[in-house]
Amino acid sequence: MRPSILRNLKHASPLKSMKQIRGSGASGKEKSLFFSLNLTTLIDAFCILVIFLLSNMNGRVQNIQENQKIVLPVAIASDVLDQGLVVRIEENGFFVDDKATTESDLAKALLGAKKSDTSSLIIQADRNSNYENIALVLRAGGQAGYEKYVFAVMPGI
Amino acid sequence: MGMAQQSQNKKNLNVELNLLPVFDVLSVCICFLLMTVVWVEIRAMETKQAMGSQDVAETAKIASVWLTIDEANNLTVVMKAKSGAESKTMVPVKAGAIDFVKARAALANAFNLKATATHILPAKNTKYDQVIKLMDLAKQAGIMNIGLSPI
Repeated sequence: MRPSILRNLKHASPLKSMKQIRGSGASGKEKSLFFSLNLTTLIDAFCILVIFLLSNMNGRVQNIQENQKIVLPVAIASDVLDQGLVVRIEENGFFVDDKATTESDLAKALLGAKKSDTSSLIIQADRNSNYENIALVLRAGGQAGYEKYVFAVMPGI
Repeated sequence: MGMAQQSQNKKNLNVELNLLPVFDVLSVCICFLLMTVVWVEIRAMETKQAMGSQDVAETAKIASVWLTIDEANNLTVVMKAKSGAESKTMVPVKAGAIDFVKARAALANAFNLKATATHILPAKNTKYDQVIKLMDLAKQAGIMNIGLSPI
């Protein structure tokens, strides 16, 4: 019977194949056709990457999304952003929890979206907005029973 | 013959770890972390409604500084002491915006006079950016209790 070609290519382990390449085995001149990939260094690099990303993450979850249409103002003495109801002020109107609303229905929408455990309102507005629009949200928030107002800002240096 | 059997029975001391599953797990971890990582962290500037949220009788008397911005971006700084004494400083507009250098000095002075609260009263057309910057300056000066008045 003709011996299979696989038999010649069969390897017991990568260590053994390395031994064959080094020529320190019983048949010193034997060379392997197998390419043994050393994954240890790759795993080291991956571990470092995972540790770096985990330490960067720090258990924080961003509860508001960045918006292309809105350029947030910059503040140096800013705090960590906590949970709250997000009100977005855009050129074409107000968005309570990503739902569009009108100026007249703002207080009603804020009251409707209010949860028992949240008393703060996160205001996300463009840096060039007039205070007139912010004041509308503040007034509506007061009517809806919100006690704390939080302005979303970008961290400054 | 006996020697050959002995050498075959010897246990191989080289232990091979199969690294491929480890490699897979780490790859999944990296993909997940890269997708969930926050590249730009949005921060917060906290405030309370300065007027209309509390009864006058309930309001505790503390030294405070009132910052009024008019429509031309002139800033009026009124320092109200605990005793009720008031002192007024005007910060005129600079290049169409609030003069933040003078505003910073006024806020630092207010903090030195034991002011613990500030109330900001912007005009209708005051830019949101300027209001935030003023709040930021107050916090940097050490005045942490910031109130913002609706129009």
